[in-house]
Amino acid sequence: MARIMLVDDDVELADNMAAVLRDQGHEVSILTSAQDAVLKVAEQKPDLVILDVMFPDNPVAGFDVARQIRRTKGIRDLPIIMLTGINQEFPMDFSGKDIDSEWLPVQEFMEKPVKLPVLIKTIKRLLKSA
Amino acid sequence: MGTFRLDPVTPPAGTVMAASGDAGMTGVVLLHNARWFTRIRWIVVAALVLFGAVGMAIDPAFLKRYGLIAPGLWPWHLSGILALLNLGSIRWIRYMSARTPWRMIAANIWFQIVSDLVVLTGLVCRIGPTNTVVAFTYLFHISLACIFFGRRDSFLVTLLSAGLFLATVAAEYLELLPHPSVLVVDRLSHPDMPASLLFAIPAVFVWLIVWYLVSSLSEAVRRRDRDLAAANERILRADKAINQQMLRVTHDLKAPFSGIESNIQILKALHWGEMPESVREIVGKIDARSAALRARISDILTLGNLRSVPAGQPARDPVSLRALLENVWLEIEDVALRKQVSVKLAGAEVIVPGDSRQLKVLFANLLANAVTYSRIGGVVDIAIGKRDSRVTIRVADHGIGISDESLAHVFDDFYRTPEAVAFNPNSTGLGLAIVRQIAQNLRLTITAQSEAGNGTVFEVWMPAG
Repeated sequence: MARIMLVDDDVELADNMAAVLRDQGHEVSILTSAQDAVLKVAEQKPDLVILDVMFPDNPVAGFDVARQIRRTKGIRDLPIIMLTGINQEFPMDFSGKDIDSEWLPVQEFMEKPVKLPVLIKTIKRLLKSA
Repeated sequence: MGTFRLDPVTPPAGTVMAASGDAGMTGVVLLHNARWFTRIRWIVVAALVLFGAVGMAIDPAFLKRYGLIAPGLWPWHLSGILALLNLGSIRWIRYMSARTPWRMIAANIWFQIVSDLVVLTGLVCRIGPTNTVVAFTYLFHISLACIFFGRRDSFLVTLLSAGLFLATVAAEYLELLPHPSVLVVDRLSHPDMPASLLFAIPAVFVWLIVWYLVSSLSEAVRRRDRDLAAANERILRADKAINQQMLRVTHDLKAPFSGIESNIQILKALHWGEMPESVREIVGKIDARSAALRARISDILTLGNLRSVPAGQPARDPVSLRALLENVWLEIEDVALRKQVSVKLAGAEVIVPGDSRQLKVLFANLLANAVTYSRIGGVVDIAIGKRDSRVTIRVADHGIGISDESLAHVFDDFYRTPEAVAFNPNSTGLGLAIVRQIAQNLRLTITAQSEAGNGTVFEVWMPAG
C-alpha cells in the first residue's frame, strides 16, 4: 500500500477522504495549509499527493504548490491529483496558464465533491503507472 | 411540429481592437477607410479615362462651336499617375492588418490624401483655377480629412489644399500654366491678378469655414462615440465583476454541499451495513436532494464560466466529433442504463475545427436532456452528417417533447416547461441555457424541432473546416 499526502483546508472533507483511503490500507497524512506543503512533501516523499486548489489566503495556492513540486529535485515526478470546487474545464478567475496542461502537468483533475470509489480507482491507476 | 432556430450572434466590432488614434477611430475602422479610399479612387481614374476618351472622340470643330476645346492627352496622363499611386497604396495596405499600429495606417491615409491633392492640383491647372468651379473639389479632401483625422491634421490638409490652389493661381498669373483651358478658349487672354485673387481668397475663406464646421461636427460626433465606448466599457466591467462575484458566491455555496455528500459517501462506504433499512432510506433521500442541489450549483458555475470566456475568435483545434460524442455518452451511460435508454450513433468520424472542451459540454447537455426526457426503454438517435457544406449533429429523442409555445423559450435561463417539471422535478432549467451560451461562444447554429408527446430533435450546425 502507498503513502499518500492530502493537502486540503477543508478538514472534514480531508478526514473523510483519509478515512476511506486508510480503510483501503493506505498510510495518509493531512496538511490543512498550503504553506510549507512543498517542504513537507520533500521531507516525507509520499507516493502520491492529493492537492486542493483554493485556500483561504490564496485562491490558486494549489497551482503554486504543484508548480514548485514539479521544479523540486527528488519529488518532481510525484503523481499529483488536483481537487477543485469548480468545474476545471473553464478558467473562472484563474489565468489560462493555471489550467494549461502542458505548463501544469498534474496527472488528474477531480471536481469536488470527489466520488470516493472514483478516487480509489484513480489512485490505484496512478500508483500502478508511477 | 414546432421549430426554433438559434443563430450565432456576432460580437460587436468595437471589442476586437482597442488601439485608436486622435480621431478616436480603431485600427480596424481606419484600415477599412484606407481601403474605401482606394476603391473610390478607381472611380476617379475611370472618370478621367472617360473624359479623355470623349474628348478624343468628339470633333474639335464641334467643341469650338460651344467655346470648348478637346482636352488632349492630359486626362490620360493624370489617370495613369493616379492609377499608379493607387496601386502603390493598395500594395502598402496589403501588408497591414488590424494589429498594425494606428500611426502606420494613418501614414497610408496621409500618403493617399497628399497624392490626391497633387493630382487634383494638376487637374485644376488644366481646367482653370479661377474661371471654373473645379477648385472646390479640394473640399472633398478637406471634409474627408475632418472625418478621418483630428482637428490639427485636418487643418494641415486644409492649409496644404489652400497652398496648392494659391500656387496655381500665381502660376496662372505668371502665365506658367499650359493653355488653353479645357472649357473656356479665351481663358488666358491675360489673367488679371486682382480679379484672380478676388476669386481665390474668398474660395480659400469658404474652405476654412467648411473645415471649421465639418471638423467641429466630426469632433462632437467622436466625443459622443468616445463617451458611448467608455460607458459600454464600464457596463462590461460591471457585468464581469457581477459574474465573478456570482461565481465566487456559488463556489462558496458548493463547499458545504461537498461536505454533506462526502459524509454520505463515508456512511455508504464504511457504515452502510450497520444501518437499518429505514435509516438507509433517509440517507438515500438526503443524498438525492444534495446531488440535485449540487447539480444546480454546477450548472450555474458552468454557465458563469462560459460567460466569462473572453470574446474573440473561438479556438479552432481539430476535434474528432464521433470520438467526442462516444466519450460524452460514456459519461452519462450510468443514467441511461438506469432508465434503460439506449443510444444509436450513426455517421462516420468527422474532424471539425472547434473548442473541444466547450463542444463536450454542449453535447453532454444535449445528450443528458435526451436521456432525461426519454421514457423508460427509449432510444436516443445521434447522427453525424454533412449538409450545405456544413457538418450537422442531430440528437433525437422520442420522449415527452415540447409544446410549440414553450419551444422558443427552452434556451432561456432557468426556463422549464410544465411538462418537464412534471416529468423531472430535479431539472435545473440551465442545461439548454449552457448550450445556447456555447453556441454563441463558438458561433454555431442550433435548430430545435419538437412535438408535444413525440420527442425532440436538436440539430447543431458547424463549419466543416
